[in-house]
Amino acid sequence: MKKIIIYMLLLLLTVLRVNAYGHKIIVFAYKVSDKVFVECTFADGKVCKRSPVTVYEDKTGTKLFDGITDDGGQYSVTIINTEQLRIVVDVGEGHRGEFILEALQESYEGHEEHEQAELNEITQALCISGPDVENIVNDIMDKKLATVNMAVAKMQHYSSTTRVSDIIGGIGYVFGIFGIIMYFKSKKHAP
Amino acid sequence: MHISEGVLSVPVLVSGAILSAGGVFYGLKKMDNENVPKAALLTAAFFVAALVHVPLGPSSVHLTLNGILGLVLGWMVFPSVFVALFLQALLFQFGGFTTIGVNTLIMASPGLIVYYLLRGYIKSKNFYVVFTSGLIAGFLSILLSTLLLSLSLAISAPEHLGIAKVIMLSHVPVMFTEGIISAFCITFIKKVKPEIFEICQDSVL
Repeated sequence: MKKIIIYMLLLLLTVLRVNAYGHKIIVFAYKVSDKVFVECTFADGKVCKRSPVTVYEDKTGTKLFDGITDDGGQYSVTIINTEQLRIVVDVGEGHRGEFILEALQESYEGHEEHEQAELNEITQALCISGPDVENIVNDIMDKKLATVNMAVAKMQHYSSTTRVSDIIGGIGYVFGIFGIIMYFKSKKHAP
Repeated sequence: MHISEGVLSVPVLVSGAILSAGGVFYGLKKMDNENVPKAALLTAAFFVAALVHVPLGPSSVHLTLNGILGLVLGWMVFPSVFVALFLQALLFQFGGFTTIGVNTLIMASPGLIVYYLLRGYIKSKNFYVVFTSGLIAGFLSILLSTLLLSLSLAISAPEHLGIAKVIMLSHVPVMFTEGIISAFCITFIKKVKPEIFEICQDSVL
């Protein structure tokens, strides 16, 4: 028994040295103006090259687009739809990942009027049209938000990868569950 | 070899869940107090094995160990695999909760088949017989698991039939790796703790 325990500990040590991961697929998507960007990786960080991507409207389940990721595991599509989207990446062999891209709140009550008044003020001062200002602001915001989106994607990836602490915790759960089984079995056999 | 949520059809999911539930209950019934630590130890090994990927060619493979689990645990392989898969789904989102029945069936039933086929040979005193039994146990368990996986995908959607061929081919190296590792593990266990195979019937060789 002692030797088996040592053997198990050695097995555990290899786990600590080797990057632990499974065939889990991490999908992340974000919207920049009308374009939806999808990035997908395996749990070890490797990109899902040339994998099929399907975009559905989440509420109705209607298929909107399907395509294939590029060599960088990225896919982008122009979608005018503002509904909540469900993006599915299926690499076959039963491995697939999903991401729900929530519909962005375009405006809220009272905000639109205030925004319009502000826009009118600016256009009067600069002698340029309202839509022009809107486009300029949108472009700047998109560029600024692109880096934030990338950072969020990285954080999402980090939180989804398998950590050694989780593995050790899992082993603890295994022993705990079998401990409970043993407890109930011993109670049944007790006089 | 974890099937994710949303891939399989409802009839396949339900049948898998019912068959696995039967296996888990029967396995628990057969599990007496002396066997619980053994089952816990092997469940932990199975739980960890799926997380350690070894690069092999363009892809990477991970051990399953279901052949060893089957040989040592017999019917108890069902509760053992179920607990490990449940925790993998809970902690790492491998597979999923709706597919846990099918996944348990895919990984546990080959172990059980291997147990019934090889239980007479594993108690042999001959080193070569034990080693070959381990080799066959590892190879056969992956072969059967892959067949079941392909079958459940093909039944769910006929267009998955093409993928089934790819799965079979991509798992050939895994079958050999698993066979060799199982052979070494079983001869090692046999040397240091032969009584671990006590649920197996007496040697036929």
